[in-house]
Amino acid sequence: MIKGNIEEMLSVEGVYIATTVGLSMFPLLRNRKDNAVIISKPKQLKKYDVPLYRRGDDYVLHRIIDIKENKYIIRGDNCEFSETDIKDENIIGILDGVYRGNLYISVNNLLYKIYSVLTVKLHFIRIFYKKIIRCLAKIKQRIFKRSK
Amino acid sequence: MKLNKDLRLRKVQNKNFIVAVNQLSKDFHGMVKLNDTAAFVFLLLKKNKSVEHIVDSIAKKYYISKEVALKDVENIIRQFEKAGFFND
Repeated sequence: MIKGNIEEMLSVEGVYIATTVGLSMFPLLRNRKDNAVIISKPKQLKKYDVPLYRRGDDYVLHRIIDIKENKYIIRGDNCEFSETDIKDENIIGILDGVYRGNLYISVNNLLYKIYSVLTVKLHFIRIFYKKIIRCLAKIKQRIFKRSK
Repeated sequence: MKLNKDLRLRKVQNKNFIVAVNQLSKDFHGMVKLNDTAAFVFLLLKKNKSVEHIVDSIAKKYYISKEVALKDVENIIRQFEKAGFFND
């Protein structure tokens, strides 16, 4: 077993494979089902890259949606809000590919690249959909309360 | 002797790693690096092949005697047991 924190594993093996937890990068990464393949960070990160960075004691794997004044604006594909003050020194590694079930999807895959661009450009549709769902849930709750 | 169904073999940069998914990932953190022979044994165990079948396959694949293959397979299985790959 390779032990140690992710930074140590990356420096020893040059790669770290993480089973991701949570839904912030859904549908790309499903909770505890898929594996993210992380490699050491390159000198310069680009828009749509998915860096791994530390937030307190947690590791976060979210997508760069913009770069402003040497700071990255980062957001999970399934998140509503973004983080605006992530700097190069916060970043540990970068996503190189995803094992979705047994299928390996490289970040160089054309379909993945199209997905990355669309998920950022069409983010407002996802937010709108989520708001509608939440609204409908509230209405349903009120109707049930009244009927009780 | 059955491998835990939540273990996955991932081949990255020509290296073999075992990681856990689903329920097992709550307790089994990190990754286990395997050499090519151990990865081959893992895949055969995953397919529920018997030790005899695995020994035969290893002997054929690496052009070694069955006695040598048996020692190797036993050693690998011991390491898998230590790493907690099998269901209790």
